[in-house]
Amino acid sequence: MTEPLLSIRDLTVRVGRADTAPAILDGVSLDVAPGETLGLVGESGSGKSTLGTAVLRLLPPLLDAGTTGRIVWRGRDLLGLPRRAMRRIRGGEVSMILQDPMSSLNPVQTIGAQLREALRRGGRGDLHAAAVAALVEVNIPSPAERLRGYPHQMSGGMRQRVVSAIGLAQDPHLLICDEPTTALDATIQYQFLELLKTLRASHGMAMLFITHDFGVVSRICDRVAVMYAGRIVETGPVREIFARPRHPYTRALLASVPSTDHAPDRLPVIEGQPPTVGNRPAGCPFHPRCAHATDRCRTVPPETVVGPSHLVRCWHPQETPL
Amino acid sequence: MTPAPILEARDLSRTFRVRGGNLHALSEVSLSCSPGRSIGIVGESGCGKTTLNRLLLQLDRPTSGEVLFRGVPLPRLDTAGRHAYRRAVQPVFQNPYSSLSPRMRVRNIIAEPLLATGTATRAEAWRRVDEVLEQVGLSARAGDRVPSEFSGGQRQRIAIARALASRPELLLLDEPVSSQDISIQAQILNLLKDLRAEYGLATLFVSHNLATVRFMCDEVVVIYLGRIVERGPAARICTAPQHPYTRALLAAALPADPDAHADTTPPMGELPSPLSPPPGCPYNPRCPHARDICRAERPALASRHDGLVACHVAHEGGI
Repeated sequence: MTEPLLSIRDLTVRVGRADTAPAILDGVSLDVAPGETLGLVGESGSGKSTLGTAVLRLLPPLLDAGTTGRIVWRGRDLLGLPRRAMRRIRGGEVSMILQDPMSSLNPVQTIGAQLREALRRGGRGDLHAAAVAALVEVNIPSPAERLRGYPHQMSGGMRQRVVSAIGLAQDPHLLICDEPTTALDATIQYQFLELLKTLRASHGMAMLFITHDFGVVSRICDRVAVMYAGRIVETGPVREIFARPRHPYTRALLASVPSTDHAPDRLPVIEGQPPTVGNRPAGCPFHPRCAHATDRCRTVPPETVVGPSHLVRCWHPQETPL
Repeated sequence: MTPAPILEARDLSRTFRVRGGNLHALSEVSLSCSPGRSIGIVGESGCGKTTLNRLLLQLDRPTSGEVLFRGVPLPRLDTAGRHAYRRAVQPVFQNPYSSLSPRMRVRNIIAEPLLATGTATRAEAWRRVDEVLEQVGLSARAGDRVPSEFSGGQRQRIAIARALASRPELLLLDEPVSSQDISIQAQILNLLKDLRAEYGLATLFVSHNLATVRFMCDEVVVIYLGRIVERGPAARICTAPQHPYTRALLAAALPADPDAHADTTPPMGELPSPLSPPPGCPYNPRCPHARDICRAERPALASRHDGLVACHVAHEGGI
C-alpha cells in the first residue's frame, strides 16, 4: 500500500485543555491516500466539520489548545508545526472549500482581485492570464468579464465554482470540502460534483469530503467514514458500506433516507436525537438509541475488521444485508 | 366523484415590479387541494414555490387569477368565512428557528391561533395544547418552556402542533424538513404522514427533493420559472417523467447507491433570470431535446398519459 498523504491518529478535540473537558472529537483515526476521496458523513454535531477544520489548524484557540493526537501530513505532524510552516501548507498543499460561497468570498472585492491574491502566493508569472485560465477550468463563461465583476453578480453555482478555482489556485494535494453543495439546488449540485470529479482527475488531488448526504457520497467518494457523536463508527469502501453496512447507526441512517424508487408507508427511524457534546453517553455513544444494544455496549467497543478495509466499532455488528 | 376542494388556485399569477422590469414569479398556476389528498410542489430556488405558498395563505395577493376557499374567492369571504379559512388552512414553515417567537412559551405559541380565530375559550385552548403536544410526540410539560430549550426537530414538532391546534383541514408545508438532520427528517415525515391518515388532512407539500415528495404525496406538480411544466401521480413522475426538466431533477436526486444507472439526461446549465425568461419553452436553453419550435412557441400544459405536461417534444411522441 502507498504511504498515506494524511494520517490522523487518535485525534481528540476538547473544549479546553483539561482532561475532563467535553470532547467534540474523541480518538479519531483515519488515512487519506494520494488521489483518494474520503467521505466523512454524519449528522450535525457529529464532529465532521471540526475534523476538517482541525487538519488545517483553524480551530478557535480554545479548541486548538484542547487538541491532542497526531495529524501527520506527508510525514510531518501538523500539531507540532510552527505557525509559519503551517501557513505555507494552508491554502497551498492543503486547501478547503466551504458550504456557503457568499461568505467565503469578499463581497467588496472583484472576483479577479480575490483570484489573483490566491494565485500570487504560488508565484505565477502573468496573474491575469492565470486568473482567466483558472475560471476557464471551472467552466465559467466569458471569464475576462467575470474577473471584473463582484460575487453578488453571480449565481450560487457560479460563486461556488469561483471558490473552487481559488481553492485550487496553488494546486493542492488535498482539498477539504465541507458540505460544498448543501446550499446548491439539485441540478446545480449535480453539475458541481461532476466538475469536482474532473478537477480531481486533472489535478491528481485527494479530497476529504464532508457531507450529511449519502447520495453525494455515492457519487463522488471512494471510501467513507461514518461519524457519530465525535467518533468514527464505521469506515470502508463506498460500495462495501452501501451493500453491507454493519454498524446499526449506518444501517438506520441509510434506511431512513427516502428514495425516488419506492415509497414505503413509513420510513424506518432512529428514535431520539443525537447527544449534545456535554452529554455523550459512556461506552458506545449510539447505545441509548440502538435497537441491538446490550449491557456490554456501556463499554467502549473495539474496532473490528469485518471485510476488506472495512472497519466497524460495535459490539454487535449486523450480518444481514440491508 | 371527488369531494369538493378545500382550497383551489385558478390561473394564479404574481408579477413583481422590480428595477429592470417585471418579474413573473408565478404564471397561470392552477391546482386544488381536496380532503385526504396530498400534493407535492417540486422545483428549485426561484421557481415560485414560496410565492405560491404565500398566495394560498393570503399573505400576498395575486396579480391575476384567484384563490378559492370552499368555492369562494378569498377576498370575497365574509367574517365568518375568513375565520373558517384561517382555522382550516394552516402553515408549517421551513425554519422553526424563525417561525416560533423566542419570547413566548410553547403553550401560548400553540394556543395563539385558537384564541385569535375565536374558536376556543381559554380553558378549551389549554386542553387542546396538551392534546396536540402529545400528538406530535412531546410531553404536556413542554408547554411551559420556551423554544430555545428545544432542538431543531422538537421545534418543528411544536410548529406542527400549532398548525394542528385549530383542527385544520389542510396543511401547507413549505420545506418542513429540509433544515433537519437525516434521522430527524424521517421522524417528522412519518409524523406528518400519520397525522394525515388519522385526521384525513389534505396537505400541500412544497419541496426541492423529489424523493421526499414521492414518500409524502399522491400527486406531484413540477414548477419551472413560475410555470407548471408537469403534473401527475407521484409514483409515475418518479419512474417515467415526461418533461425533460423533471427528468433532470430525477437524475439530480442522487440515490445512495454507487452503482445506480448512469443518467441519460444530466441537468445542464443554470436557471435563466426570471426577469428575462427565454422565449418559447422556458426550459429550452437547458434542454438537450430542444428543437426550433421550443425556441419559438411556449408549449401548452396538456394531458398525456395520466398527467399533464407542457413540452412540445413529449407531445410529439416522447423523448
